[in-house]
Amino acid sequence: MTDIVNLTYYGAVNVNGTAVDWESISTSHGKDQPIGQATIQAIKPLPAGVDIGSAVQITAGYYGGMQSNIFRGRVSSFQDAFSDSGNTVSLKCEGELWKMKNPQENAVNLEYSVPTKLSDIIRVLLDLRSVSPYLVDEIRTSDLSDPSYLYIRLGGLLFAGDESKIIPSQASLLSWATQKCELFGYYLYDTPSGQVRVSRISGKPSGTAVMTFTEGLDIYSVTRNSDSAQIYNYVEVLGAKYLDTNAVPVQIRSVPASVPSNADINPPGYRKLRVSDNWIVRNREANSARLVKELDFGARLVEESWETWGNPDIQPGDIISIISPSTNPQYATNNKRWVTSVSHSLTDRGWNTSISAWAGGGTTLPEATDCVTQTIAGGATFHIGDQVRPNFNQTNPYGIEAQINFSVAATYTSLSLSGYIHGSNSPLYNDENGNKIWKNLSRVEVWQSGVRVSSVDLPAYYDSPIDSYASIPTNWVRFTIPLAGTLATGTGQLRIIAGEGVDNQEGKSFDDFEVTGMSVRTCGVGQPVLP
Amino acid sequence: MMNNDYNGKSYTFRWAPMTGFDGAKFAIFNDDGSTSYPDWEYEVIAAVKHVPGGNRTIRQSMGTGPATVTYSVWCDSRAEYDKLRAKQGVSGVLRVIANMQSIRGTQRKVQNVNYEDISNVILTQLSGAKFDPDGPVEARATFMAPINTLTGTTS
Repeated sequence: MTDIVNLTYYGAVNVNGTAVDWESISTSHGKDQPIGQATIQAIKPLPAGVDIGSAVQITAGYYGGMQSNIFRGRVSSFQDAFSDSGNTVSLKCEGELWKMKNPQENAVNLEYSVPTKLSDIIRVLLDLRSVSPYLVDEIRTSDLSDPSYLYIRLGGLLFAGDESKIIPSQASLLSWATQKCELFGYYLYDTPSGQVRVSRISGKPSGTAVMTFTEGLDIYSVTRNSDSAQIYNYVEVLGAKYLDTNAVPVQIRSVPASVPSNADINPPGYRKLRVSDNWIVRNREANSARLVKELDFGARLVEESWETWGNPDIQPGDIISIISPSTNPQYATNNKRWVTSVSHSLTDRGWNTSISAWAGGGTTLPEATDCVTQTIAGGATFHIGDQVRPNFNQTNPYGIEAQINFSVAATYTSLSLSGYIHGSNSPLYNDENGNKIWKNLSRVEVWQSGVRVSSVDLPAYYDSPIDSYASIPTNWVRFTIPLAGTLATGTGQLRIIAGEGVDNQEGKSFDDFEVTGMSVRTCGVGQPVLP
Repeated sequence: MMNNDYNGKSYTFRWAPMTGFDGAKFAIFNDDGSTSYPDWEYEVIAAVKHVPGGNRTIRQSMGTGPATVTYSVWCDSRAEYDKLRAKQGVSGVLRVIANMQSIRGTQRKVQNVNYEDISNVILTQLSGAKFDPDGPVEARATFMAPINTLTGTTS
């Protein structure tokens, strides 16, 4: 039994609100093509006033059935032609997001002084250029099942520098916004309906399919491409690099703990993708960006494209199902996809809609520990100096120098020492012993293989002659200092040295202070186990 | 009804001296001797595509093309033929005997003959002219008209 679906369709082109006769229409929208495009082959004469900038709306549908916009935007260029084919004009049109294309140039930079929801930043940028209508989904961390599924916030960290919080006036707002969205698996794009969207198109879609396309029923032709060229199963995300309040270098970074081998790219079984963005100022966002890339690039790219008869209701970002046993043997269980692009063609050969769809095939990997903290000398308390101090935790001095070994990881980006302290460089704090000249301040030196690598003075802290330091941490101060220099893998040595003063009358003397609970924190050490 | 024998050929007309296009007069005849008119034809434009892997065919109707008709015409004189020839590509009113074709025009009675005036008609082609030294010219005239398939009118 044969089946004939008899449809009567129409396509209407309105320019500046006036109908235009046309010979052919083509439109295209997609997640990787933020600005929608349309080409209208129109028949002259055009209505008066049609020019670059004229508002364009294209509607298509079936009499008695569905009908919707398939394009909304403006004329961006046109070409008049006169030949045996007649006097025609080809109108090239661009979607609403064209307004975001150009930089502000002479305007002031856009600055975000606190970490701000990315979705709110995008809304502000869209409003700035009067883009309308738009629907911006909340941009969240990648794992929907994660209880910490939270808003993505970017920029605004005081210490991280301008490149982490300022959108330069010379930047294209569209490029800036699309790049930031894509970091987290979201896309900014025009849609055939005319609404500008920001939505998540990442991983495997879990929602309900808006439509199912089935071989033999509503697919004229279908292709399925499988490609190993885009596989990146080892993803490193680097965020801002800055000095924190203690002047300790911080490099926001996320890498996986281990990378499973991928047979499609073996040897070596992995391919690295490094993503770097200074607007990422927290580890949460770095980790989320990494998980997104693992979902979307961790496995071979499989993309289906098919042609069906005109369908005005499919938008990029929709979830659809495609049942094509001829191209996908796993069609019964693996058929949900994100629509990545939609194009319409209305010609004398009919109205056809081409759709491309995809789903991320990768899986997320646990994060490697990027910072390691090792306790120094078992957290022991050291009284550095040369005086007996009854109110100290350790009444008798350990000596004017303590040498403590620690291990150095293979690679690192920052090294810092933390602990509790009191009384270091107190003469500077207490402003005492006015006639004493301090030759050296109390300090921490880092040594390796008999060579001094770096030296940093300890901060000046109050030294009370009457307060008791017996009970830690009462009256003690928490401190963190950066340890500069580069150390080779192996053993390093900390030398905690008392400051040395010279008094005109009393001769040489030393600063007395105590440190306890010391630990060395090494960051940037996370290295995945590779296949 | 009129019968003309001319150059050994017999022509049969209905008597309707005001038949013509945009002021150029002619008579319509049939080579087979009948007095009926050929009727307008138009194409229903559609794209038909088969869905592979099934028994389904999609037919997309894309509207109706213009109506066309080709008449064999007889111009009484070379001057009338020249008038008609000058009307090629021109949009005007085709006057034919009433109720002899499918497009509904405006009916009017002239010299006791009922005519139908069809507006918005274009003479797209005049071909196959055969001239006679005595003046009459025989030719084939093709007309095109927009048609509303629901009302049968040209508007």
